[in-house]
Amino acid sequence: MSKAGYYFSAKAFFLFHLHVGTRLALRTFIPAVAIFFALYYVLRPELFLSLMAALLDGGFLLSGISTILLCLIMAGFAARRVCLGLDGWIRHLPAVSSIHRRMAAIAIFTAQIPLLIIMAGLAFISSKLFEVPAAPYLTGLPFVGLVCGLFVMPVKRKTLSRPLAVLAGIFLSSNNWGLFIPGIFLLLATDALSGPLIQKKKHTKFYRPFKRIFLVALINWRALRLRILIPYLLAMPFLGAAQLFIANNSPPPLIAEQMIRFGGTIGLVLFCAILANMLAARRPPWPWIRSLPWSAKSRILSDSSFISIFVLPLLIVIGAMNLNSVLPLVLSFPSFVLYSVFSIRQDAESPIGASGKVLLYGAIGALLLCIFPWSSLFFLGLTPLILKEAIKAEKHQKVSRWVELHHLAAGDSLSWSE
Amino acid sequence: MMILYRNVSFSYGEEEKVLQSISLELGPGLTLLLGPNGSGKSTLLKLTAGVERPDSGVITINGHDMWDDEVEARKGMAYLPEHPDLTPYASIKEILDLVCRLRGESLDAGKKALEFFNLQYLAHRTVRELSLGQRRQAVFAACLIGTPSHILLDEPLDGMDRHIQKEILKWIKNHVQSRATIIVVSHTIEPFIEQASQAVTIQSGHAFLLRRLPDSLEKKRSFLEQLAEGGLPL
Repeated sequence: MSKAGYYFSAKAFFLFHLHVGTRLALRTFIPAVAIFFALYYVLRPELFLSLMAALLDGGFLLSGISTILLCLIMAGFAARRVCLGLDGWIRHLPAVSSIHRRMAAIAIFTAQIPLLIIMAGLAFISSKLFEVPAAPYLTGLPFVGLVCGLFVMPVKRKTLSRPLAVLAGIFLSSNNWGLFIPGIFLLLATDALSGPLIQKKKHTKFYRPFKRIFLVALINWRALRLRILIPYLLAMPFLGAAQLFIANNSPPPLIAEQMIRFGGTIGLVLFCAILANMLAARRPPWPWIRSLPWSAKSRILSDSSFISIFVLPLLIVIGAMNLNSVLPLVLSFPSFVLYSVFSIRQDAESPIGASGKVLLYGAIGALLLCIFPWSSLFFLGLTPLILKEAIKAEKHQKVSRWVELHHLAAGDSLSWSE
Repeated sequence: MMILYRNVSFSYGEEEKVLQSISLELGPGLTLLLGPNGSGKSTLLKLTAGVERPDSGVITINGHDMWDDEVEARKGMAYLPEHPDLTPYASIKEILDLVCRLRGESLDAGKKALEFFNLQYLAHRTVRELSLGQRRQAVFAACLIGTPSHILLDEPLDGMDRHIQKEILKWIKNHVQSRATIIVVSHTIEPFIEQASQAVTIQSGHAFLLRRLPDSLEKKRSFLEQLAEGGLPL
């Protein structure tokens, strides 16, 4: 391919991916600023700036690793959106593979700009306040964005290019001129050694027919896969906090039981709420299946069974912590599970998502169960009512309407997630 | 204007051979790609468009290898996939601008292509905000930009209203007359019978090219219908 031809294609793809990256940057800008301000005030301005100064002055490992980790999180978020579609229709356009890869990396870099601006601003203020030089760090930041863009690309030789990219990122954000030039060389080496983009072979797999309940479980599982670990990771700290409180304060048995009931319920409800949110987004209603001789009740119960199976490990952990505390939770968890199944149908598109009301319901539940363990009977009594409401919500869903959430759905031909 | 396949094989998994050692030569005119569901028609079109890469074998477009001479091979290519897998966060206008720039056309060509489908009002919407039908129309609009010499259409009439269907058929006819190489995968063969000059059928992973179709429209219809149903007319 001639040089002029290369630049001609590159320019067209550059402008295209710049637009895509800018759109993503605009989407991430407000959350990035909000998280920054939240951290800023939680950690107090002085502490935050001291941390930043330590970052600039803390040697190449501390500043390099922490900066590249932050940028990689952002780049990973952007890559999921930019790379979907890179191995489809767009591949028939006249451009070599390296243009597709490089320009998509530009889009990912552009999406990171809000974070890079915040990092640069903090570094600049810290350098002025604490008289720490920040010029190498500030010069290296845009290149770190590019390195992260290259890191997250699905390329053929990623086992070779990714370690190089991490090293390049660490060097470039080490706030050290001596490491800056090697960092640039490593960045160029990453680009040169990445190889072409991986092309996934997309096809439809055929499965043997399953029993209904297994089919629902299979669909749910395909939508979640290892993401199922996320709700566990978010729920476990509450159980851990309860255990830590008891270990450090040695409270009387009654208080210990209350703490475990409180932490356990919050953890359990959080698990259900996050799972509900993920299922609402990644597993849209299946309109065609509603034409089959299968009741709304059985669809609700199938979903509930699926969630309940994954709640069981949490109940076992709570039981291991304190056997007396687990009984009220065993009695009340069906109502929490059913409420989250109800919310998937009722509140998926509401501003607070499917998890909002579940969390509110669960918070009230946690307080009541903490103080009055017998209130678990009340929650058990509510279960048939919630089931009835969930069935009603299932029947009234507008399943064939296009919703924004569809772009996250797994296994949906219109989705962008798989 | 030739598309050449030499010993092209492709499989989705180790045991799922979709296409086996296909060797074909397709020239100008409309070629109907026929066969039962799951026979590999759309896969062959994806390979021709350079969306998927063959496991073995070579595909050349006008003598340019699809994977060694990527740009030259794809220069005159217009491809309509069955599922419009576009980048979700790009707007329709941005996609059409990209195609205009790559085909050396003014950006107005993109605007005109959208007018063809009456989609001007959606130009600034991102792909994720469009329905399946609108996405297909947007991808088809990209096919209309410039003067493509190789046109690959997977179910081109699906999801289009009757008026648009007529316009699409007129557009295909114009390109047949200007000697473009057009490959169409369609389960609805009736609208293409008149224009079709040859047909390819895929059965059990093997492709059969039928260079001469019967002259009479009636015989041609029954011949193509037989192919579409998976039978090879003797």
